[in-house]
Amino acid sequence: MNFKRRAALLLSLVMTTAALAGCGGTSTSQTGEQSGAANETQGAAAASGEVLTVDFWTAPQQVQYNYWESKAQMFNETKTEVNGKVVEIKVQQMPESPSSEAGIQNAIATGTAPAVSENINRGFAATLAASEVVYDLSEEAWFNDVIEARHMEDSITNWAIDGKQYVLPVYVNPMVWQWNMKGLQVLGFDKAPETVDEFNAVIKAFAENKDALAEIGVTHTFYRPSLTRPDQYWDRWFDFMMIYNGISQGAPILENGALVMDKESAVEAMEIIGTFGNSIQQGELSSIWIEEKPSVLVSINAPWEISLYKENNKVYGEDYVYGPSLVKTQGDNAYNYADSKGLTFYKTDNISEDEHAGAVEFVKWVYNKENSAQTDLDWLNATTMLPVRGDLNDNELFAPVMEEYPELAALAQWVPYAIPGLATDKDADIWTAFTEAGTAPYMNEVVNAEPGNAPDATSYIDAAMEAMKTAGGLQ
Amino acid sequence: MKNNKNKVSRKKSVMGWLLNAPYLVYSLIFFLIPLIWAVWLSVMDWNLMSKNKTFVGLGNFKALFTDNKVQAAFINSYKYLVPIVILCFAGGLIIALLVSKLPDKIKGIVAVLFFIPYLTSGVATSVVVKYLFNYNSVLNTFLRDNFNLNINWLTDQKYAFWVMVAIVVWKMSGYYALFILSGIESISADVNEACALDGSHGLHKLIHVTLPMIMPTLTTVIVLATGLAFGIFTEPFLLTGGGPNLSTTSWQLEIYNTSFTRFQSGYGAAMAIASAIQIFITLRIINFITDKLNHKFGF
Repeated sequence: MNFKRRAALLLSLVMTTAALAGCGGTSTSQTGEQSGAANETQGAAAASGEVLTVDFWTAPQQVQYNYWESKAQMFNETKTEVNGKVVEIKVQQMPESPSSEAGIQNAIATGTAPAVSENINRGFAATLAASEVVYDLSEEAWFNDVIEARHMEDSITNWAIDGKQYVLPVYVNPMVWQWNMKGLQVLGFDKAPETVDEFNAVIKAFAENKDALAEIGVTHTFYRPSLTRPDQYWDRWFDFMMIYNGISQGAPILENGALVMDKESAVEAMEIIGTFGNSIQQGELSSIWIEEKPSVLVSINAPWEISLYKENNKVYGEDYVYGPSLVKTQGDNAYNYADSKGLTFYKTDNISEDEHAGAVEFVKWVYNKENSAQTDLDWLNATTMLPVRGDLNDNELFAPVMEEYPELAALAQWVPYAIPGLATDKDADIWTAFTEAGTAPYMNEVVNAEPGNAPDATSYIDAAMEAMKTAGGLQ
Repeated sequence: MKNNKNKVSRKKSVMGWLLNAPYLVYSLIFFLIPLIWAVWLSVMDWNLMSKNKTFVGLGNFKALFTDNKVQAAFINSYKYLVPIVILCFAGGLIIALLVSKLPDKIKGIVAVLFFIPYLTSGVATSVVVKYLFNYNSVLNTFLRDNFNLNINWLTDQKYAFWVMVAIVVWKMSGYYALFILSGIESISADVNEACALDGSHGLHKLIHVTLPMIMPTLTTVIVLATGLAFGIFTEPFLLTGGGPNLSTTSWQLEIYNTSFTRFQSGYGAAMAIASAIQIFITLRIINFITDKLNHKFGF
């Protein structure tokens, strides 16, 4: 009996331990090369003093991890000290699932947030700022030095949240139209439309030349399957906001907790989408632009796939061409939407003052006057996403890349007019509501209209604006 | 004598608690504590990040009644429930009956083949389905070229819901077939012989003998399929995002979006509790009906 009891006790303990085995905290061990490199550095640092480990989270993409890991290794070799401790930056990818934002939320909730991370957009930064878990950088001397070194004095104002700065922008993709150059040529155009009138002329030509376009495989004008999907609210940044920013010349949408969107411009922007009529491609397509014969005339894009196009022998200017957001009058600035993310420093209980100071030392080193241009060039080469700098087309360091990638040079000209997302922690709610009350019901009318005959969008914009107010708690 | 009995009984009791301890600890950590925490979270306005947590009482629960997403999730859970339970049950039954007629040598292998979709990741399935229903997929090109049919499978309300149902039924029927097959196999040879002697074959035997005799197994299948219908997430999350016009949304999807996209974690917890209540009530009703049926057939 005694044996049985002991065996039962042992079994019980083993089973309990096994059941809870997965509950351990995040392992701090590293693997493979990563571990080896870090250990070497740590070993060397430990010889001269205490090591201050600072966590840096990158975007979930491997290319961004590799980039920041190489920068961290270079920085670690400088043996920079904070309060007598040698700073060692430990880089890891932020969790991708369920989303990188949810990964940050989870890390903050469980006291495992990094000292600094990249991949933060203005909308999520507003959420973090409202939660008081990120540092305001606007009064920091080093932050202003970085702004000066990267010639960002003009563009950084677009990043302000209630007059403060919580993000150091890393990259910006101006969202633009991506036109099928061969399709435009069939319609008799040799460049992408820049004004609303030019755009209307293209759509009119499409309606009159469907057969000719079909010969080169073009069956639809605009690829946009997400217009009826409120869950893909972020696509409203890229389509509606991009168009609205151009039409309204950058008129704000929110100001001091009030919805100030220019209704007339909003209606015009919505009707630009409506102009495509029943020729909008709402079915899902995969890899349109690397098809031998792309089936659409235009989509909305950023330089995410430039390398892919190159691999598939697609030539900028021959197969596809970027067109700016549409303006009403030739010569107006092509304001657009900035798909832009940057670095944020976390102010949570698990991060000590020293760790924060270590994170600041790293970012200062990466973007100081001597290193910032090379840092941004390395970024551009690694990711083909444009770094946030005011001298991309003027700085000679970037000239070879701009020559190799004329598409990047084209995009760079619209960077100064790229406006980041709304500075509100209700960004997702606002654009979800806009889609539910605006674009989704409007599409029911649009799909029954011929190209060039946009249905009146006034009532849909009225409804959408009311929904935005309710969703965002706006005046 | 009485003391000895008490001693033995106490020892047995201790042994029982000891052997149940792992599950109790597991339940405490993974069910009870999270449940209590979720109830607490549901009365707060908190995004899990902010240092400020605001007590809102029943405010989150009141808001559920006017939320169109919650209404859609509530209605859709029953819209999913009916076809999924019926089709999974029917699919499982057909597979089980077909497999039961096979020679013993290959029965096991065929049963496993039908079980494979259950083992397939929902993400992988969704990716394949997305590819299959692309505008330029082979299927759609064939339909357009030969029948002049241009179907937006995932963005048209008429089709998207049924695509979701079809994926779930395809995935789960083989799994439920194993339950039903084991029930059919457990019917003794005497019963089958008696049926043959009495001239009961085919549909007559299925309705009047086989199904009544495996009623407890069928009850399990129905209850599991009900739970499944309330737990749909991966397919609408990856394929439709709950659209078009919330026609494919589910409780799980809305809870996820509320908590991790819109960062309204308190409200998300209230939604989770509301969905749990709906599941509990529905399962009680289904249990009541199946208990009556079981009782009728002598179980």
